[in-house]
Amino acid sequence: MTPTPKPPLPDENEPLRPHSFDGIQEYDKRLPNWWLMTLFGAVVFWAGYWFYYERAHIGHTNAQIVEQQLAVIEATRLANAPTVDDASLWKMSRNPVFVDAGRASFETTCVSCHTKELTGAIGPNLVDHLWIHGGRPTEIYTTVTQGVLAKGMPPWGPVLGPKKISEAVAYILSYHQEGEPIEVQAAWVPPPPK
Amino acid sequence: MAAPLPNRDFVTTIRDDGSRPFLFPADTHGRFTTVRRIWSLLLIAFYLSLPWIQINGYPAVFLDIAQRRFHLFGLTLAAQDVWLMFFVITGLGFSLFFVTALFGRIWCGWACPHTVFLDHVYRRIERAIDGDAVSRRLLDEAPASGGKLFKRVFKHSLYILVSAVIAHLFLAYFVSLPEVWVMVSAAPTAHWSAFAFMAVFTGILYFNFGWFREQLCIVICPYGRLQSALIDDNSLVIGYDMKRGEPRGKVGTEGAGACVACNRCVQVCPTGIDIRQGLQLECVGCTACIDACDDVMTRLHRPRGLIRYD
Amino acid sequence: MSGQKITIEYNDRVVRQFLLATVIWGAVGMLVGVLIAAQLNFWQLNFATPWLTFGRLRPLHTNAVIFAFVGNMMFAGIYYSTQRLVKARLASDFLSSLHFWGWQFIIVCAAVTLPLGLTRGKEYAELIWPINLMVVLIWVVFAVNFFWTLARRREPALYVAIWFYISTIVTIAMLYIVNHLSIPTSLLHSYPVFSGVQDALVQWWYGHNAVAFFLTTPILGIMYYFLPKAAERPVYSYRLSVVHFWSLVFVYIWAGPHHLLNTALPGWLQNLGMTFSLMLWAPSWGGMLNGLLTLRGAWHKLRTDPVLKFYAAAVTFYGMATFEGPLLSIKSVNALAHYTDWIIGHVHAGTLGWNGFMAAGLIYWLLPRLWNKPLYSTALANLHFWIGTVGILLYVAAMWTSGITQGLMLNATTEHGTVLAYPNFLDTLNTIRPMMLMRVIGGGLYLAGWFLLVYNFYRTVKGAAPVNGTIEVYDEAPAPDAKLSLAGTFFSAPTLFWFLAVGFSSMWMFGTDLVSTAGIVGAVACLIAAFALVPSRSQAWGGWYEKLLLNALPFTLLVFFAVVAGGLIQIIPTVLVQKAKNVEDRIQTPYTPLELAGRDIYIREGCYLCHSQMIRTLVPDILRYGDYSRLGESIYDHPFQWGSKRTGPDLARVGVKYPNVWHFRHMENPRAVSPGSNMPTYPWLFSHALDASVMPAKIKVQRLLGVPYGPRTAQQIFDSMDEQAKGIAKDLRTAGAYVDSDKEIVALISYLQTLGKSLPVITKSAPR
Repeated sequence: MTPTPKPPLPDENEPLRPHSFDGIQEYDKRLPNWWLMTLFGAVVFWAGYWFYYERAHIGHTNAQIVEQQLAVIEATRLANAPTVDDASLWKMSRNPVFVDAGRASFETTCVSCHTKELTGAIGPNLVDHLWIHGGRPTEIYTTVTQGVLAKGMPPWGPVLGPKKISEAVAYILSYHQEGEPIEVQAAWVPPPPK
Repeated sequence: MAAPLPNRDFVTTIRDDGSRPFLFPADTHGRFTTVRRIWSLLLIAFYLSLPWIQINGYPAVFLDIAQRRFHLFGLTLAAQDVWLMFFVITGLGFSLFFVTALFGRIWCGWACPHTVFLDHVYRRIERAIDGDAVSRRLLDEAPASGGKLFKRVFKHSLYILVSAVIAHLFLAYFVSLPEVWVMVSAAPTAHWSAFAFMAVFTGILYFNFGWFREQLCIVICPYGRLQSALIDDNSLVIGYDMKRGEPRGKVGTEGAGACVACNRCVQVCPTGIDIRQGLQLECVGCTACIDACDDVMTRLHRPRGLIRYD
Repeated sequence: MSGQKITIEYNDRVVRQFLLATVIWGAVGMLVGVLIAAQLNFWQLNFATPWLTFGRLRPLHTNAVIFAFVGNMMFAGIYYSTQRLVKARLASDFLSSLHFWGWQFIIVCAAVTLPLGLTRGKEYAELIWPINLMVVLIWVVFAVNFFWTLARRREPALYVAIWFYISTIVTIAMLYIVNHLSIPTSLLHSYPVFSGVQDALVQWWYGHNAVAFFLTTPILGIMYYFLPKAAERPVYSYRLSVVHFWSLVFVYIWAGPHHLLNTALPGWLQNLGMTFSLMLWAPSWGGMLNGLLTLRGAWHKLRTDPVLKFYAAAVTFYGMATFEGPLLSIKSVNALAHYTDWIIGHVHAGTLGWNGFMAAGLIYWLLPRLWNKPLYSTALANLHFWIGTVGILLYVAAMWTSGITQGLMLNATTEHGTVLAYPNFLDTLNTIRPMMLMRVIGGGLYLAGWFLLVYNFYRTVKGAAPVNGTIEVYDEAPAPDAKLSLAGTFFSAPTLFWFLAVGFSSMWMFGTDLVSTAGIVGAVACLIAAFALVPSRSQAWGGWYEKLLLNALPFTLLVFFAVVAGGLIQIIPTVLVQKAKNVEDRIQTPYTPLELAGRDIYIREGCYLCHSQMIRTLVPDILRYGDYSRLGESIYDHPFQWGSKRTGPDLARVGVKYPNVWHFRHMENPRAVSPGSNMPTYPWLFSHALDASVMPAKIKVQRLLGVPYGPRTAQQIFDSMDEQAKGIAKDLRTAGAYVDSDKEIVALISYLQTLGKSLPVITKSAPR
């Protein structure tokens, strides 16, 4: 270990303030000027920021900014909107790439109400021939996208997007055959709890 | 104006009016200087080469923020893997704690990028253009002249140039070199945010290494302070052998210790302290005072190590 | 020197009592913290027991560590140092005892009521109104005892530590009273007088400044006494003390809105919150530097003295937390970090590092002096330091990575930015689960370190005789010529410049054209005049300030004016604004009685601690939760429920998103419908009958507070509740879920299903 250094020598050039509080003395050193400049700089920044947003209204408000961004998203969505038709959805439902991707989405998003077996619990059975909001592929697609708020089906369009929804629909359709009967059901009655 | 001789009641680099005396640490030669220079150059080469080395088709370190893909030495992580950073942070933290408890602030003096780039790049530029410590101080105090202006412009241009190079290579950690090249080749307006980042980062580096220097270690950096609290009596720190050195006196003085009060250790210190006053907040363990003192002791045919790692 | 020499004995008994309470409540508070951190990992640890669920214990943790742990520590430190700094025994032994026992009684009341679910539903202000009254009473006792002691001081000038104590007493009183204004509906329940955005603003004005004036200023005062004492060094800079004290107390108050960035809070408040937070960096670091550079001359002692190790680390963590704070207040950084664990990490860097380590340093330094016996084990204290530091490293690193990971995942989009990359919230939760476990380990280590302190405390104190400090003083009257009149206080250049600068700046900020122009001209003139006068007048101003330090009352008044400015300018316009004109096109539909009852259950169970009800003006929030929240949509919420953390998803628009039975199954067992969820189960909601009898009184108070309920009899209220509950129960029955309509779950479902319900407002709201 290094030897203990001497106690610091009081420097007569360093004036202590005359007062002592319970033995505590005070120097009156200056802080670096650059430190003071950061405080002044922050004040100047406040003035500039306030002028930019609140006096001159050059900067946009939060709502204006987000509305612009949403408009861009809307435009992108429209430009990239896939053509969804019954034939292509049926075709996807026979392609394992789409079906597997759809299963992944289904199992994180849909199983809480429709169960892993798709036989329904909180939400209706998806493997029988009974459909409440239509059983054609495009009808299923629309139901998933727009939801049925009155019955507690959330609109998944904004959350999942068209790609994942078509995959999920393809996954549901993989349990069905093209041309099988579609019967209309008025409302879903869940099975009694086990 | 030169900095006053350090003592323990005030910070050398803050004057009474709050202004900052610029330090002109003298050159050192010796074991530690040599080893540290070689080691630092290796480190710099390592830092700067990472974006160039390709592993598994990606640069060794490529934090692709735009794609949220993080490539580390062949490993590719996505946003959901960012939590693995925990092990990097705590791993570094534990290493720092452990190394500090054993060897003191060895990180600060030997591996911190701030010290490495400051001592081995920027100070070298300064040394090459402005000369040794005395010349630098005289130049600083000299009235404005054509020669001084030329040297100043030359030095600061080099500082900015080096800062810009470092900033670009740093950016290459995030956007890959070919992409950086594409951005550099295009007009600033084409990649506005990248250009702004680059300009600001270059400015920060230039300010830090060109002027701010030891203030970062003294005032800003929390690790140095935390490290000081992690050191105990058995840690290796740089110290002055008071038993052997005191009382100080010129060669031949009756009863004098080994220290000849040449103040060489103070002149070489890049943080403006007198190591003979013991372990201090400012000391980053750069070893300059060891080499300086050893040099003097050797010339006096006295054993080395009056100031040493102990 | 005149007068007789006398010996006075300090009241160190109360200091010992507070110190002991600090140690005990610290252990309790941290233990609850580790438990609730573990609950987030293992939902089973909620034990399906009401009073052990996260939502009820989390307020217990925060209240215990803030008010019980740091509170007792600060009273110990303040009482010990103040007596010595003013050379006078505490004015009243009775008030000191009353303060101590009253405070402990409050803590015990809190520890009983919070697990019972008795809460006001506002963070760090959860305690119910009878306890609020006790807190105010005891705070007044503290204030009287403190200022009375100052009045009897034999040391004419006030030392910097005392300035900080004064600011604490004054400001906490102001914050506490305003944020606890409420109207009781029963002995155990009340509604806050503010609602929606006003409540949010008042809450975070309070919440942020509780950090400032409960966790920071008193501890800085303690630092200014105990750090130079322990280091045996003079304080580095008096001048710096002056600058950073006044800038800190003035600026801090304004920064509250940074807790509400990107929300429905009006933009001007967000801008003020952000810019003043950035301004706060320099004053905060001023305190850190003064502490650090005071230690500087004794730096070599850091190798051996655990007290100094704790202080050096505490000051360092203070610096890190106050650097991180302004950073997190930048809107774009906040967009990523808000509602995530990063904020929790930030808070704990401050509380574990700064408060906890300052407390440890204080205790290790005081023990030998209060019991006249060396510390039992320095080695154990060093070990405590190491374990604590490693604990902080693990905790903070885990929370940083967790917060950043989850923030990145929640904000990540794909398919040209049109769709969320991780639409399932649970994916983001389960990714950070390892980090949440690491946080338990880090917190557990920190707690283990604290137990070492407890043991060291016990072994040191055991068998030791307590001693009280004494001092010999001249019994003399304070010099009369140093009196500063009120006129001399306020009509002095520094005070006038300050008032004019704030006044002119406010005119510029808020005035219309002419007033604004006058404001900017005045502010600039003020600035130029002040700077021009500095060289010639600084000596005189310094003299005036030293004179001010001899006068406690004028000093206190100036502190009050400094801290009141920010609150007045932010809160008054927000509270006075006519609600109907400030709703942004949409106005909330008032709750039905059943929904209101359900809302009170939501608050009782502490749902707001994990679920926000505020969709920010940010694309990822909107993609995930729906259209951004408008001011008017929570205008009738007493208290507001915007939340501060999203351990679960936002609920602002969860109403009618799922069928009733979804909520039923979810509350019964969250994992049945949300696999991987860490939410507790709430079985008691299915067996407890709703207490409808309290609703008429509650609705009466809501009407009083301005919620548009028409006049109705108690019977009408009961009938309406019954009818709505029966409807829900019937719907549940058809979906296969059987529950009596009088159970609490029915009311809660009715509330959840109404979230997001609002009416469009035709009149376009005018810009501010």
